[in-house]
Amino acid sequence: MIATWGSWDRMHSTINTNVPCAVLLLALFVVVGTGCASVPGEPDPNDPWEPFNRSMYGFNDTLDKAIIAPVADVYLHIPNGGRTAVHNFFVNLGYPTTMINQFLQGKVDNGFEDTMRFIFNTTLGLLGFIDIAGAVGIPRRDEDFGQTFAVWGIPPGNFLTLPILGPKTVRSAVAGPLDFLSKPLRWIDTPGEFVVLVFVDIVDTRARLAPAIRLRDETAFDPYVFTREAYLQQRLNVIHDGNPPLAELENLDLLEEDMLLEEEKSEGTIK
Amino acid sequence: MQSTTTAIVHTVLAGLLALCVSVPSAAQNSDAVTTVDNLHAALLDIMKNAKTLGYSGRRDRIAPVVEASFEMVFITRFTLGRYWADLGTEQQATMVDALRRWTIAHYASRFDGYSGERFETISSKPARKGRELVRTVLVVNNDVADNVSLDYLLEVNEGTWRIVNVVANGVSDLSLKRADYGAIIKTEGVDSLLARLNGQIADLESDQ
Repeated sequence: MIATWGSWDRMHSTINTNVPCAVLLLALFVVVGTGCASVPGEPDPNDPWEPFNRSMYGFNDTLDKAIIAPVADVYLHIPNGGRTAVHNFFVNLGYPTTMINQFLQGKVDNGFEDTMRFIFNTTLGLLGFIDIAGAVGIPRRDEDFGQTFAVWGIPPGNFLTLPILGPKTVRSAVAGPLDFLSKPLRWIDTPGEFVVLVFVDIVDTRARLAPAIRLRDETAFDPYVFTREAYLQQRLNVIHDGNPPLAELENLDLLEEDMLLEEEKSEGTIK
Repeated sequence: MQSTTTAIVHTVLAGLLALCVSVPSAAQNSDAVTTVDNLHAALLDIMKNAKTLGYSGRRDRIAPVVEASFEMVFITRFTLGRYWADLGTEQQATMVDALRRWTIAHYASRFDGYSGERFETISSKPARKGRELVRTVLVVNNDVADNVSLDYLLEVNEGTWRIVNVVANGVSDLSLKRADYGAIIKTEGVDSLLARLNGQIADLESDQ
Protein backbone atom coordinates (compact mmCIF):
# COMPACT_ATOMS: atom_id res chain seq x y z
CA MET A 1 0.00 0.00 0.00
CA ILE A 2 1.31 3.38 -0.98
CA ALA A 3 0.90 6.48 1.09
CA THR A 4 -1.80 8.79 -0.15
CA TRP A 5 -0.94 12.39 0.47
CA GLY A 6 -3.11 15.35 -0.37
CA SER A 7 -6.78 15.18 -1.29
CA TRP A 8 -7.65 17.19 1.79
CA ASP A 9 -9.59 19.76 -0.15
CA ARG A 10 -12.05 17.10 -1.16
CA MET A 11 -12.71 16.07 2.39
CA HIS A 12 -16.42 16.51 3.06
CA SER A 13 -16.68 18.68 -0.02
CA THR A 14 -19.41 16.56 -1.54
CA ILE A 15 -21.70 17.63 1.25
CA ASN A 16 -21.69 21.04 -0.39
CA THR A 17 -24.51 19.72 -2.49
CA ASN A 18 -26.95 19.94 0.38
CA VAL A 19 -27.62 23.58 -0.27
CA PRO A 20 -30.48 24.48 2.06
CA CYS A 21 -28.51 23.15 5.02
CA ALA A 22 -25.28 24.55 3.63
CA VAL A 23 -26.60 28.10 3.31
CA LEU A 24 -28.18 27.98 6.74
CA LEU A 25 -25.11 26.53 8.40
CA LEU A 26 -22.83 28.95 6.64
CA ALA A 27 -24.85 31.93 7.72
CA LEU A 28 -25.12 30.62 11.25
CA PHE A 29 -21.57 29.46 11.80
CA VAL A 30 -19.78 32.31 10.09
CA VAL A 31 -21.53 34.56 12.58
CA VAL A 32 -20.76 32.24 15.51
CA GLY A 33 -17.20 31.88 14.28
CA THR A 34 -16.75 35.63 14.20
CA GLY A 35 -17.99 35.77 17.77
CA CYS A 36 -15.38 33.22 18.79
CA ALA A 37 -12.62 35.46 17.49
CA SER A 38 -12.96 37.52 20.62
CA VAL A 39 -12.21 34.60 22.96
CA PRO A 40 -9.42 35.75 25.30
CA GLY A 41 -6.02 34.09 25.19
CA GLU A 42 -3.29 33.85 22.61
CA PRO A 43 -4.92 32.93 19.32
CA ASP A 44 -2.67 31.79 16.50
CA PRO A 45 -2.43 34.80 14.16
CA ASN A 46 -2.84 32.39 11.24
CA ASP A 47 -5.99 30.89 12.76
CA PRO A 48 -7.83 33.50 14.84
CA TRP A 49 -10.98 31.35 15.02
CA GLU A 50 -9.11 28.33 16.36
CA PRO A 51 -11.30 27.71 19.44
CA PHE A 52 -14.46 27.56 17.31
CA ASN A 53 -12.71 25.58 14.58
CA ARG A 54 -11.40 23.02 17.03
CA SER A 55 -14.84 22.42 18.49
CA MET A 56 -16.31 21.99 15.00
CA TYR A 57 -13.43 19.66 14.11
CA GLY A 58 -14.29 17.59 17.17
CA PHE A 59 -17.95 17.49 16.15
CA ASN A 60 -17.11 16.38 12.59
CA ASP A 61 -14.65 13.79 13.87
CA THR A 62 -17.26 12.31 16.20
CA LEU A 63 -19.84 12.23 13.41
CA ASP A 64 -17.31 10.62 11.09
CA LYS A 65 -16.31 7.91 13.56
CA ALA A 66 -19.92 7.19 14.54
CA ILE A 67 -21.59 7.06 11.14
CA ILE A 68 -19.68 7.98 7.99
CA ALA A 69 -16.46 5.97 8.51
CA PRO A 70 -18.24 2.71 9.44
CA VAL A 71 -20.53 2.99 6.41
CA ALA A 72 -17.52 3.77 4.20
CA ASP A 73 -15.74 0.68 5.57
CA VAL A 74 -18.68 -1.48 4.49
CA TYR A 75 -18.83 0.32 1.14
CA LEU A 76 -15.15 -0.53 0.56
CA HIS A 77 -16.12 -4.21 0.41
CA ILE A 78 -17.86 -3.58 -2.91
CA PRO A 79 -15.57 -4.65 -5.78
CA ASN A 80 -13.31 -1.90 -7.09
CA GLY A 81 -15.04 -1.74 -10.49
CA GLY A 82 -18.38 -0.94 -8.88
CA ARG A 83 -16.91 1.76 -6.66
CA THR A 84 -15.08 3.30 -9.61
CA ALA A 85 -18.36 3.50 -11.56
CA VAL A 86 -20.11 5.21 -8.64
CA HIS A 87 -17.21 7.64 -8.26
CA ASN A 88 -17.21 8.38 -12.00
CA PHE A 89 -20.94 9.15 -11.79
CA PHE A 90 -20.50 11.73 -9.02
CA VAL A 91 -17.45 13.31 -10.64
CA ASN A 92 -19.45 13.70 -13.86
CA LEU A 93 -22.46 15.05 -11.98
CA GLY A 94 -20.26 17.79 -10.56
CA TYR A 95 -18.61 18.58 -13.87
CA PRO A 96 -20.76 21.59 -14.83
CA THR A 97 -19.16 23.38 -11.86
CA THR A 98 -15.73 22.66 -13.32
CA MET A 99 -16.81 23.72 -16.84
CA ILE A 100 -18.29 27.04 -15.73
CA ASN A 101 -15.29 27.90 -13.58
CA GLN A 102 -12.81 27.12 -16.35
CA PHE A 103 -14.49 29.84 -18.44
CA LEU A 104 -14.74 32.23 -15.48
CA GLN A 105 -10.99 31.81 -14.93
CA GLY A 106 -10.31 32.52 -18.60
CA LYS A 107 -9.16 28.97 -19.36
CA VAL A 108 -11.30 28.73 -22.47
CA ASP A 109 -9.57 25.71 -24.03
CA ASN A 110 -9.96 23.73 -20.82
CA GLY A 111 -13.57 24.87 -20.61
CA PHE A 112 -14.41 23.50 -24.07
CA GLU A 113 -12.51 20.28 -23.39
CA ASP A 114 -14.32 19.82 -20.08
CA THR A 115 -17.65 20.46 -21.80
CA MET A 116 -16.81 17.73 -24.32
CA ARG A 117 -15.87 15.48 -21.45
CA PHE A 118 -19.20 16.05 -19.74
CA ILE A 119 -21.17 15.42 -22.95
CA PHE A 120 -19.21 12.23 -23.81
CA ASN A 121 -19.51 10.76 -20.34
CA THR A 122 -23.16 11.70 -19.84
CA THR A 123 -24.19 10.10 -23.15
CA LEU A 124 -21.72 7.41 -24.26
CA GLY A 125 -20.60 6.91 -20.67
CA LEU A 126 -24.16 6.14 -19.53
CA LEU A 127 -24.79 9.10 -17.19
CA GLY A 128 -21.13 9.20 -16.28
CA PHE A 129 -20.77 5.74 -14.80
CA ILE A 130 -18.14 4.95 -17.44
CA ASP A 131 -15.29 7.42 -17.91
CA ILE A 132 -15.21 7.26 -21.70
CA ALA A 133 -13.46 10.64 -21.97
CA GLY A 134 -10.69 9.53 -19.63
CA ALA A 135 -10.15 6.42 -21.73
CA VAL A 136 -9.51 8.57 -24.82
CA GLY A 137 -7.09 10.83 -22.95
CA ILE A 138 -9.23 13.82 -21.91
CA PRO A 139 -7.92 14.60 -18.41
CA ARG A 140 -10.20 14.90 -15.38
CA ARG A 141 -10.07 18.36 -13.82
CA ASP A 142 -11.54 19.92 -10.73
CA GLU A 143 -12.49 23.59 -10.54
CA ASP A 144 -14.90 25.41 -8.25
CA PHE A 145 -16.00 28.94 -7.40
CA GLY A 146 -13.56 29.16 -4.49
CA GLN A 147 -10.69 28.63 -6.93
CA THR A 148 -12.19 31.17 -9.31
CA PHE A 149 -12.45 33.77 -6.55
CA ALA A 150 -8.77 33.12 -5.77
CA VAL A 151 -7.80 33.56 -9.42
CA TRP A 152 -9.74 36.85 -9.41
CA GLY A 153 -7.57 38.04 -6.55
CA ILE A 154 -10.07 37.75 -3.69
CA PRO A 155 -8.13 36.99 -0.48
CA PRO A 156 -8.88 33.70 1.34
CA GLY A 157 -9.87 35.20 4.68
CA ASN A 158 -9.54 33.21 7.88
CA PHE A 159 -9.43 29.46 8.10
CA LEU A 160 -12.79 28.06 9.09
CA THR A 161 -14.04 24.61 10.04
CA LEU A 162 -17.74 24.14 9.43
CA PRO A 163 -19.90 21.40 10.87
CA ILE A 164 -20.37 18.60 8.33
CA LEU A 165 -18.83 20.73 5.55
CA GLY A 166 -15.35 20.49 7.09
CA PRO A 167 -12.26 22.68 6.51
CA LYS A 168 -12.73 25.87 4.50
CA THR A 169 -11.50 29.38 4.12
CA VAL A 170 -14.04 32.18 4.30
CA ARG A 171 -13.60 32.52 0.53
CA SER A 172 -14.37 28.88 -0.20
CA ALA A 173 -17.22 28.87 2.33
CA VAL A 174 -18.87 31.82 0.59
CA ALA A 175 -18.35 30.09 -2.76
CA GLY A 176 -20.01 26.89 -1.51
CA PRO A 177 -23.61 27.85 -2.36
CA LEU A 178 -22.53 28.88 -5.88
CA ASP A 179 -20.91 25.47 -6.30
CA PHE A 180 -24.19 23.88 -5.34
CA LEU A 181 -26.26 26.05 -7.67
CA SER A 182 -24.08 24.95 -10.59
CA LYS A 183 -24.59 21.22 -9.93
CA PRO A 184 -27.36 19.27 -11.72
CA LEU A 185 -28.09 17.52 -8.43
CA ARG A 186 -30.16 20.50 -7.31
CA TRP A 187 -32.71 19.80 -10.06
CA ILE A 188 -33.74 16.56 -8.36
CA ASP A 189 -37.03 17.50 -6.74
CA THR A 190 -37.80 14.18 -5.04
CA PRO A 191 -36.47 14.61 -1.49
CA GLY A 192 -35.89 10.87 -1.02
CA GLU A 193 -33.75 10.55 -4.16
CA PHE A 194 -31.87 13.73 -3.28
CA VAL A 195 -30.97 12.50 0.20
CA VAL A 196 -29.88 9.06 -1.05
CA LEU A 197 -27.68 10.59 -3.75
CA VAL A 198 -26.07 13.04 -1.34
CA PHE A 199 -25.43 10.28 1.16
CA VAL A 200 -23.86 7.95 -1.40
CA ASP A 201 -21.75 10.86 -2.64
CA ILE A 202 -20.51 11.47 0.92
CA VAL A 203 -19.73 7.78 1.45
CA ASP A 204 -17.88 7.57 -1.88
CA THR A 205 -15.77 10.61 -0.97
CA ARG A 206 -15.06 9.25 2.51
CA ALA A 207 -14.05 5.87 1.10
CA ARG A 208 -11.63 7.49 -1.33
CA LEU A 209 -10.17 9.60 1.46
CA ALA A 210 -9.69 6.61 3.75
CA PRO A 211 -5.95 6.19 2.99
CA ALA A 212 -5.29 9.92 3.49
CA ILE A 213 -7.19 9.93 6.77
CA ARG A 214 -5.34 6.82 7.91
CA LEU A 215 -2.07 8.54 7.05
CA ARG A 216 -3.11 11.54 9.13
CA ASP A 217 -4.07 9.33 12.05
CA GLU A 218 -0.74 7.51 11.86
CA THR A 219 1.47 10.58 11.61
CA ALA A 220 -0.22 13.61 13.13
CA PHE A 221 0.17 14.51 16.78
CA ASP A 222 -2.38 17.31 16.54
CA PRO A 223 -4.84 16.11 13.85
CA TYR A 224 -6.67 19.46 13.77
CA VAL A 225 -3.49 21.40 12.97
CA PHE A 226 -2.38 18.73 10.50
CA THR A 227 -5.74 18.88 8.67
CA ARG A 228 -5.72 22.68 8.61
CA GLU A 229 -2.23 22.95 7.16
CA ALA A 230 -2.77 20.14 4.65
CA TYR A 231 -6.08 21.67 3.52
CA LEU A 232 -4.65 25.17 3.06
CA GLN A 233 -1.66 23.90 1.11
CA GLN A 234 -3.73 21.57 -1.01
CA ARG A 235 -6.10 24.41 -1.87
CA LEU A 236 -3.16 26.55 -2.94
CA ASN A 237 -2.03 23.68 -5.12
CA VAL A 238 -5.38 23.26 -6.91
CA ILE A 239 -5.82 27.02 -7.29
CA HIS A 240 -2.55 26.98 -9.26
CA ASP A 241 -3.55 23.81 -11.13
CA GLY A 242 -0.77 21.78 -9.53
CA ASN A 243 1.94 24.40 -10.11
CA PRO A 244 2.00 26.63 -7.04
CA PRO A 245 4.64 29.39 -7.03
CA LEU A 246 8.11 28.08 -6.30
CA ALA A 247 8.39 30.27 -3.21
CA GLU A 248 5.36 28.53 -1.74
CA LEU A 249 6.92 25.12 -2.35
CA GLU A 250 10.16 26.22 -0.76
CA ASN A 251 8.48 27.88 2.17
CA LEU A 252 11.81 28.16 3.91
CA ASP A 253 11.84 31.86 4.62
CA LEU A 254 10.54 30.94 8.04
CA LEU A 255 13.96 29.47 8.76
CA GLU A 256 15.57 32.86 8.30
CA GLU A 257 13.05 34.28 10.77
CA ASP A 258 14.01 31.53 13.24
CA MET A 259 17.69 32.32 12.83
CA LEU A 260 17.05 36.01 13.38
CA LEU A 261 15.18 35.08 16.54
CA GLU A 262 18.09 32.89 17.64
CA GLU A 263 20.53 35.75 17.12
CA GLU A 264 18.34 38.11 19.08
CA LYS A 265 18.05 35.55 21.86
CA SER A 266 21.81 35.00 22.01
CA GLU A 267 22.38 38.73 22.06
CA GLY A 268 19.99 38.98 24.96
CA THR A 269 17.69 41.48 23.25
CA ILE A 270 14.72 39.16 23.76
CA LYS A 271 13.96 36.15 25.91
CA MET B 1 44.67 36.58 -41.35
CA GLN B 2 45.25 38.22 -38.02
CA SER B 3 41.54 39.05 -37.70
CA THR B 4 40.67 35.41 -38.46
CA THR B 5 43.06 34.21 -35.76
CA THR B 6 41.65 36.73 -33.32
CA ALA B 7 38.15 35.58 -34.15
CA ILE B 8 39.11 31.93 -33.54
CA VAL B 9 40.78 32.82 -30.24
CA HIS B 10 37.71 34.78 -29.19
CA THR B 11 35.43 31.92 -30.17
CA VAL B 12 37.54 29.41 -28.23
CA LEU B 13 37.69 31.74 -25.21
CA ALA B 14 33.95 32.32 -25.37
CA GLY B 15 33.43 28.57 -25.61
CA LEU B 16 35.68 27.91 -22.62
CA LEU B 17 33.93 30.63 -20.66
CA ALA B 18 30.54 29.12 -21.51
CA LEU B 19 31.84 25.72 -20.39
CA CYS B 20 33.09 27.19 -17.12
CA VAL B 21 29.69 28.68 -16.47
CA SER B 22 27.49 25.85 -17.64
CA VAL B 23 29.33 22.73 -16.52
CA PRO B 24 29.04 23.23 -12.75
CA SER B 25 25.31 23.99 -12.91
CA ALA B 26 24.66 21.02 -15.19
CA ALA B 27 26.64 18.81 -12.80
CA GLN B 28 24.69 20.18 -9.85
CA ASN B 29 21.41 19.38 -11.54
CA SER B 30 22.36 15.81 -12.26
CA ASP B 31 23.70 15.34 -8.73
CA ALA B 32 20.47 16.55 -7.17
CA VAL B 33 18.49 14.25 -9.47
CA THR B 34 20.82 11.37 -8.57
CA THR B 35 20.02 11.82 -4.86
CA VAL B 36 16.28 11.64 -5.59
CA ASP B 37 16.66 8.77 -8.04
CA ASN B 38 18.68 6.78 -5.49
CA LEU B 39 15.94 7.27 -2.89
CA HIS B 40 13.28 6.20 -5.39
CA ALA B 41 15.30 3.14 -6.43
CA ALA B 42 15.63 2.11 -2.79
CA LEU B 43 11.89 2.63 -2.22
CA LEU B 44 11.01 0.53 -5.26
CA ASP B 45 13.40 -2.12 -3.98
CA ILE B 46 11.70 -2.37 -0.58
CA MET B 47 8.26 -2.26 -2.24
CA LYS B 48 9.07 -5.11 -4.60
CA ASN B 49 10.64 -7.21 -1.85
CA ALA B 50 8.27 -6.06 0.87
CA LYS B 51 6.96 -9.43 1.93
CA THR B 52 10.28 -11.27 2.05
CA LEU B 53 12.04 -8.40 3.83
CA GLY B 54 9.35 -7.79 6.41
CA TYR B 55 9.21 -4.50 8.32
CA SER B 56 12.64 -4.79 9.94
CA GLY B 57 14.23 -5.81 6.63
CA ARG B 58 12.67 -2.83 4.85
CA ARG B 59 13.76 -0.54 7.66
CA ASP B 60 17.35 -1.78 7.60
CA ARG B 61 17.54 -1.47 3.82
CA ILE B 62 16.06 2.04 3.59
CA ALA B 63 17.90 3.44 6.63
CA PRO B 64 21.31 4.11 5.02
CA VAL B 65 19.62 5.63 1.96
CA VAL B 66 17.55 8.01 4.10
CA GLU B 67 20.66 8.96 6.06
CA ALA B 68 22.54 9.70 2.84
CA SER B 69 19.64 11.47 1.12
CA PHE B 70 18.12 13.75 3.77
CA GLU B 71 19.62 16.79 5.48
CA MET B 72 18.20 15.79 8.85
CA VAL B 73 19.76 18.59 10.93
CA PHE B 74 18.22 21.20 8.65
CA ILE B 75 14.87 19.40 8.65
CA THR B 76 14.78 19.13 12.44
CA ARG B 77 15.85 22.72 12.90
CA PHE B 78 13.16 24.00 10.55
CA THR B 79 10.54 21.69 12.01
CA LEU B 80 11.16 22.81 15.58
CA GLY B 81 11.20 26.44 14.49
CA ARG B 82 11.74 28.94 17.24
CA TYR B 83 11.95 26.17 19.85
CA TRP B 84 15.21 24.81 18.38
CA ALA B 85 17.30 27.59 19.92
CA ASP B 86 15.96 26.78 23.38
CA LEU B 87 17.47 23.28 23.27
CA GLY B 88 20.96 22.33 24.39
CA THR B 89 23.34 20.68 21.93
CA GLU B 90 22.60 17.24 23.32
CA GLN B 91 18.83 17.74 23.13
CA GLN B 92 19.16 19.01 19.56
CA ALA B 93 21.10 15.87 18.61
CA THR B 94 18.45 13.70 20.29
CA MET B 95 15.69 15.39 18.29
CA VAL B 96 17.63 15.01 15.01
CA ASP B 97 18.09 11.32 15.76
CA ALA B 98 14.40 10.89 16.63
CA LEU B 99 13.28 12.52 13.39
CA ARG B 100 15.70 10.38 11.39
CA ARG B 101 14.37 7.18 12.97
CA TRP B 102 10.80 8.44 12.51
CA THR B 103 11.39 9.09 8.78
CA ILE B 104 12.94 5.65 8.31
CA ALA B 105 10.12 3.95 10.22
CA HIS B 106 7.44 5.63 8.14
CA TYR B 107 9.09 4.78 4.82
CA ALA B 108 9.48 1.15 5.96
CA SER B 109 5.88 1.03 7.13
CA ARG B 110 4.16 2.75 4.19
CA PHE B 111 6.07 1.29 1.27
CA ASP B 112 5.05 -2.24 2.10
CA GLY B 113 3.87 -3.64 -1.20
CA TYR B 114 4.16 -3.35 -4.95
CA SER B 115 1.52 -3.27 -7.65
CA GLY B 116 3.28 -1.84 -10.68
CA GLU B 117 4.04 1.66 -9.34
CA ARG B 118 6.95 3.61 -10.77
CA PHE B 119 8.68 6.94 -10.17
CA GLU B 120 9.25 9.37 -13.02
CA THR B 121 11.57 12.36 -12.78
CA ILE B 122 10.03 15.25 -14.69
CA SER B 123 12.38 18.17 -14.28
CA SER B 124 15.10 19.75 -12.20
CA LYS B 125 15.50 23.47 -11.86
CA PRO B 126 17.40 25.87 -9.63
CA ALA B 127 15.49 27.32 -6.70
CA ARG B 128 16.41 30.28 -4.53
CA LYS B 129 19.62 30.40 -2.51
CA GLY B 130 21.40 27.72 -4.49
CA ARG B 131 18.77 25.07 -3.84
CA GLU B 132 17.45 22.72 -6.49
CA LEU B 133 13.85 21.64 -7.09
CA VAL B 134 13.44 18.15 -8.54
CA ARG B 135 9.91 17.42 -9.68
CA THR B 136 8.81 13.80 -9.90
CA VAL B 137 5.64 11.80 -10.05
CA LEU B 138 4.69 8.50 -8.49
CA VAL B 139 2.67 6.73 -11.16
CA VAL B 140 0.26 4.55 -9.23
CA ASN B 141 -1.73 2.96 -12.04
CA ASN B 142 -3.30 3.88 -15.35
CA ASP B 143 -5.63 6.47 -13.83
CA VAL B 144 -3.74 9.77 -13.97
CA ALA B 145 -5.95 11.14 -11.18
CA ASP B 146 -4.37 8.69 -8.72
CA ASN B 147 -0.78 9.74 -9.45
CA VAL B 148 1.08 11.54 -6.67
CA SER B 149 3.30 14.47 -7.57
CA LEU B 150 6.44 14.48 -5.42
CA ASP B 151 8.59 17.61 -5.48
CA TYR B 152 11.93 17.46 -3.72
CA LEU B 153 13.84 20.51 -2.58
CA LEU B 154 17.57 19.86 -2.19
CA GLU B 155 20.48 21.76 -0.76
CA VAL B 156 24.17 21.16 -1.38
CA ASN B 157 26.32 20.69 1.69
CA GLU B 158 30.02 19.84 1.45
CA GLY B 159 29.56 18.81 -2.16
CA THR B 160 26.62 16.48 -1.52
CA TRP B 161 23.03 17.20 -2.53
CA ARG B 162 20.56 16.29 0.18
CA ILE B 163 16.78 16.59 0.43
CA VAL B 164 15.44 19.29 2.75
CA ASN B 165 11.74 19.06 1.87
CA VAL B 166 9.26 16.78 0.13
CA VAL B 167 6.10 18.32 -1.30
CA ALA B 168 3.44 15.70 -2.07
CA ASN B 169 0.51 16.85 -4.21
CA GLY B 170 1.30 20.39 -3.15
CA VAL B 171 1.47 19.58 0.57
CA SER B 172 4.84 20.42 2.13
CA ASP B 173 6.08 17.85 4.61
CA LEU B 174 8.21 20.46 6.39
CA SER B 175 5.33 22.89 6.85
CA LEU B 176 3.01 20.16 8.10
CA LYS B 177 5.58 18.97 10.63
CA ARG B 178 6.42 22.49 11.73
CA ALA B 179 2.76 23.29 12.41
CA ASP B 180 1.93 19.92 13.97
CA TYR B 181 5.04 19.66 16.16
CA GLY B 182 4.90 23.35 17.05
CA ALA B 183 1.38 22.85 18.41
CA ILE B 184 2.59 20.00 20.65
CA ILE B 185 5.68 21.84 21.89
CA LYS B 186 3.57 24.91 22.63
CA THR B 187 1.09 23.02 24.79
CA GLU B 188 3.13 20.09 26.13
CA GLY B 189 6.83 20.87 25.64
CA VAL B 190 9.70 19.32 23.69
CA ASP B 191 9.99 16.23 25.92
CA SER B 192 6.41 15.33 25.09
CA LEU B 193 7.11 15.67 21.37
CA LEU B 194 10.11 13.37 21.72
CA ALA B 195 8.03 10.83 23.64
CA ARG B 196 5.31 10.98 20.98
CA LEU B 197 7.85 10.48 18.16
CA ASN B 198 9.33 7.46 19.94
CA GLY B 199 5.84 6.15 20.68
CA GLN B 200 4.84 6.35 17.03
CA ILE B 201 8.01 4.56 15.94
CA ALA B 202 7.31 1.79 18.47
CA ASP B 203 3.69 1.56 17.26
CA LEU B 204 4.79 1.18 13.66
CA GLU B 205 7.17 -1.62 14.64
CA SER B 206 4.60 -3.45 16.74
CA ASP B 207 1.91 -3.14 14.05
CA GLN B 208 3.95 -5.17 11.59
